[in-house]
Parts: sequence; C-alpha cells; structure tokens
Amino acid sequence: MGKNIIKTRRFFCRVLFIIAALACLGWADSWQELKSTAGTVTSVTAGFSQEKHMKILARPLVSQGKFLFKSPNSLRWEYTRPLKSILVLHNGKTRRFVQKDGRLVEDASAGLQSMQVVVQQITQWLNGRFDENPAFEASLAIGQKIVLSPRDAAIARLIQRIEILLSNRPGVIASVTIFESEDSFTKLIFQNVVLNTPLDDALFQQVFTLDDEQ
Amino acid sequence: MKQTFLLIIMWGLLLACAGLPKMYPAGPADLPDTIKACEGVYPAGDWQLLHTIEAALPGSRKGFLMGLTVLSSRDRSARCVIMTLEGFVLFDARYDGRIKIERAVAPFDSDDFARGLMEDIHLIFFRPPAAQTAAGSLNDGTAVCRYHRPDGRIVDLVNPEENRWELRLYRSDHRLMKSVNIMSKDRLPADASTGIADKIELTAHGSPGYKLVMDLVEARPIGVEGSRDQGVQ
Repeated sequence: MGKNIIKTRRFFCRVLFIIAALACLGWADSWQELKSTAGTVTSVTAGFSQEKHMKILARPLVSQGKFLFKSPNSLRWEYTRPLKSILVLHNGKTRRFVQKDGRLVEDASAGLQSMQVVVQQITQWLNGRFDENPAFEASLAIGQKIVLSPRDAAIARLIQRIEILLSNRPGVIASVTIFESEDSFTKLIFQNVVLNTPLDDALFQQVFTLDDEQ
Repeated sequence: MKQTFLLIIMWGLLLACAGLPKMYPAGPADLPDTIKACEGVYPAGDWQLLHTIEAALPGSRKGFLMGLTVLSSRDRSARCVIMTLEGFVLFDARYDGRIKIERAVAPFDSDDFARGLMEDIHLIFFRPPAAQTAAGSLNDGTAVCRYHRPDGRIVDLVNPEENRWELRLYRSDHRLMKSVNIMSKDRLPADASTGIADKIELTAHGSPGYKLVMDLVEARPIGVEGSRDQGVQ
C-alpha cells in the first residue's frame, strides 16, 4: 500500500512538474519557436489561482498560491489559502510541508523519489522539448493552446487531457486546465508573471511561508 | 524511548480492551434535553464539507490529503471525494443505500476501503440508526447518550467538556472498536450548534488500527448562500 501511495504521488508530482515547466514556455506558433523562447527563461515568479470544478460542487473549490521556478531544477509551489502548504525541489530533493496547528509539518506521503526522471523532464521542457515527453502526446491547437493527451491507457484513466493556454506575452502562459473527466477538472490561472529575476536558492531550500517572509 | 513506545502500545491495548461503561439513566425530566444536546452534534440538512485529512503513517510520519464530503441528513446519503492537496481526485464514491464508486486510484481502489470509509463517514456525520436510545451519565458524572444499533453495535456519545464530544463505537461484545473526538472552536451552547465540527479525530482500535485527523477548511450549506471557513488552531 505504501508503495502504491508513493507511485500515485510520483505520478501526480510529475503532472505538477509538467505544469511548472510549461509555465516557463513562451508564446509561439511552432515547437521550434517555443524551444527558442523557453531557452531564454532562467526564472519564473508568479501567483496562481486554482479552481477545482466537479459536477457535485455548487461552486468550485478555490485555492491560491505562489509559484517560483529557477533554472535548471529548483521549484517552489506554495499554496497560501485555504490550506498553507509548500512543495520545494532543489538539488534533486523534493519535500512538502503542510501547515498544521500553526506550524509546518513534513508530508511523508509525498515521497517523491523519481527525481532523476523529473529533472530530466524539466530539462526537456525548459528547452521547449515538451513534445518529446513520452507520457503525453502534444499538439498545438488554434488559439495559442497546447493540448497534451496521455499516450498510456493507465494515465488516461487518471487524466483525460491537459490544456495550456499561452499568453500573448512571450514566455508566459495564461492558464493550465487538467481534465480528469469532462465534468471534473482543475484550472490553474497564473497572474503577475515575472520572468528572469534573480531568485535566491534559499527560497527553494528553507521552509517558511512567503507570507512569513513578507 | 523504548519504554515510552511500550507504554503507548499498552495504552492502546487497554483502550481496545475497554468495555462498555455502566450508564446511570437520566430521570424522565432530563432525558429529552440530553438527547437533544446529543443530536446537535450531527449536521442537520445538506452540507458540503472540505477537510484536510492527516493520516498517521508507519514510523511516526504523517501524510496529508483533502476530503470533500457532500452529505444529506434527510436521506442519510453521502458523496465522498479524496484528493491530493493539488486537487487530483484519488477516490470518489457515493452512498445512497448502497456504495457506488465513481473513481478510485490505487491504493484507494478496493471495495474494503470504500466500505470502511463510508462506515466512518456515517459514524461521524449521521445520528446512529438506533433501535433503542438511552441517555444518562457515566460513573464520573459525564453526560452520555447511548444508541443501540440494529446491528448489535452500541454508540456512546459523551460530552466530557464544553466544545468537545467523544463518540465511542462498541462491538456487540462491548469491546471498543472506534472512538471519535469531535471539537468545535465556537463556544456555542449545544442547542445552538450547527453540528459542524472544526476538528475531528478518528481512531480505529485493534489490529490493524488507524488514526485520521480531519480539520475543517470550509463548510457550505447546500441551497443556502454563505459558508463557514474555519478550523481549530
């Protein structure tokens, strides 16, 4: 059972990293242009709003957070509300912390041991080579949209498709929507995206909420 | 360290072996009020509840998930969705007299898991289907409602202190099976309670036992505007 939890976690973590890496991709009309734009991105700082839509929900569940990425392989994915949690990746090590009773507690079920695979994938995507990801088939759709469809039937049972809407601003995406089914999907909307600002490594190593820092 | 561990095990075994305590029945004048107070612990009407779920893992580690529960006290139906913190659905099932699994990802993909989860949801959120209900006090004077379920099991609902209730499920042989701590932040008198707890701790005794801690993130009455975001800090 423990192995299964880790396997499931690994899968969802990979999806998270796909989103993270895609946030670094730029607007373009071809894979080649995407690769060129992505190559210029060294860091991303953004806020995000996450909407969970399900048929049973009268209104979507809304979460908000902050997202930091530093090339080549440092990531911080922080939810600020309603539940504070922080996922950090640095030097191949991933950890997640959840705020409980006013303090941050490490989430042991997020045993993310597939870092080699993840880092390799991030490197691919940062170079704009996300169409080479073996797990998903990528297609460029009309309206600055990228659609990722799972190749594997086992993954398709979990995720029907991922849609990425590119912003008009090169290097920035507007939103990512992950469809688990037609009536159950998660939409991430990125705001206030800033590219290529210097980010301290401590942001990816130390465990504190960005609210605390401010 | 080893001694502490042994003490914890012994305490757990003692709890598991704890039998049904003697109840001193309430007088006819007190009985309706005591039962009314007990029933205020359960959510009335239709609710959408979002909790964080903290599960104890081997090696004193903790794992975290989100739990979405949509329930109706009227027809005792429930829909339960378990998600990762990022919102990916791992388990989705409904109960309206029978369990229907909509989606289940390993390790949540067994019928036993679905059945156990629905049993826990019913234990926590729905008044026990009682063939017989009694009320009174325990040896230490604590108020108690005692529900004799049709399946032979017994549920004691105890109010040891303000804002905290303890629900104890006993097997038909009177051995303690599960206990649930139900805590509210609001200092509401029982008869004004919404029945929505801020923190719920469920412990399944015996082997294999488990412990779940659920903190309320959001409670939304269905069909009514407004919601309640809170939690015991």
